Amino acid sequence: MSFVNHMSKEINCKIVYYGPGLCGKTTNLQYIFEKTSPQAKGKMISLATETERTLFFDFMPIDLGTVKGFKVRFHLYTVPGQVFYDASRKLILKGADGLIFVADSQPERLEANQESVANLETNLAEYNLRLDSVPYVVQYNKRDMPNVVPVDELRAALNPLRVPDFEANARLGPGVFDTLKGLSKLVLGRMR
Amino acid sequence: MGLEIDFSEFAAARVREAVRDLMEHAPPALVPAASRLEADAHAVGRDDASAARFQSLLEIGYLVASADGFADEERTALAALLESVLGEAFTHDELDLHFRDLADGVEMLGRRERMRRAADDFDDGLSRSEALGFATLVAVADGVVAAPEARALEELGAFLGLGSDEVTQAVTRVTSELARRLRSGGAA
Repeated sequence: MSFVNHMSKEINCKIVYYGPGLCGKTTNLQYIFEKTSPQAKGKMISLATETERTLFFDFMPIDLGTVKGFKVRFHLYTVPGQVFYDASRKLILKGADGLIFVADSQPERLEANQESVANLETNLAEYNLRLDSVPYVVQYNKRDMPNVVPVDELRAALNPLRVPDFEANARLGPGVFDTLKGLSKLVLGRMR
Repeated sequence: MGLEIDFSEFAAARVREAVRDLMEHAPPALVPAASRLEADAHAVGRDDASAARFQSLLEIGYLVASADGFADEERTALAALLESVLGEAFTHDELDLHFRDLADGVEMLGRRERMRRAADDFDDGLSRSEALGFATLVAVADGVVAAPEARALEELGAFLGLGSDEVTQAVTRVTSELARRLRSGGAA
C-alpha cells in the first residue's frame, strides 16, 4: 500500500528485506545507505526495544524517473531474523509494497533459509497476502564465501515461484543495487 | 503533566475564530509567524528546507490533532482554518486532500515514526518551540485538548528534544494566550 503525498508530488513505497538471522539484510541496507547521496536520503534509523527491533531509512532514487509526474521515495525496512523478533517481522510487513528475501548461500544455512521463507508466507497470510500477490524478488547473498550452494540448488529450494533472483555480496556491494532495481521494476510496474 | 485543555464553555465558532486570530497575530516566538507560514507554503514544490519545514509543521499539527481520532468535520475545519491563514498558497480542497494523504502515511509507517521524522525538520530551539506551539493551536482548534492529544504533545516535545518543563511552558503559553483572547471577547 504505497501512499501518495500530492502536496510534494511524491509516491512513497515501503520495501521490506526479509530473511534468516545474519543473512545480510542489514548489510544490504547499510550498503545502499552509504552509496546514496546525502541529498537523496533520510537518516538511517534503528528502533530497538527488548522485544522489537527495526532498521530503516528512506531515499529517492534519481534514476527511476517519475510515475505520472510523481517522484518515488522508497522506505527500506528490515527486522532481525532471530526467532524471538517474530512480532516485529509480522508488523513490518504491514503495508509493504515489495519484498526482498535475502538468503544466505552457505550450505549450513539452507534450512534456516527455508524456515524463513515459510515464516514469511505465514506472516503474509495474516494480511491476506501471498508471495505471488506482492512484488517479490530473492537475493542469494554471501556469494563471496568459500563454500556456497550452487544457485540452481538455492533456486530450487527457495524460489519455487521463479521470481527474479540475484546473486550478491552485500558486504562489498555486488548485486545489492541489482536486487533493489529488480524489485523496483516490479513495484513501479504495478503503479504505471 | 496535565496538558489537557477544555474550552468547551465557549462556542465552537468563537474558539475557531480565536485560534485563527492567534495564528495570524501571535506574539513573537509563540507559533511560527503567519507571514513565514505563507512564504514557506509557497515554497512547496521547490524541494528546499522551508518547504520541508512547512510540510512537517502541517504533519505534526495533524498528528497531534488526530491522536484522539479525526472525524471528517474536524479535517474539514482544520483545512478551512489553514486555508484562511495561508492565503492563496493552497485551496481548502488541496489541504483536505493533504490530510487524507497524511492519514495514509500514518497507516503505512506508523504515527510515532511519522512524528519522529517530521520533528527532525526543526533544528533550532526557537523553531522547535514554535512547532510545538503550532501543534498545540491546531489541537485546541476544536475547543478541547483531550488526553490522547496531550500525550501526543508530550511525545512530540520529546521528539523535538524539549524537556518536559519546556513542553509544559510552550503549551501553556499558547493556551493561556488563547484563553485571554476568548475571555476578552475575541482578538486581542
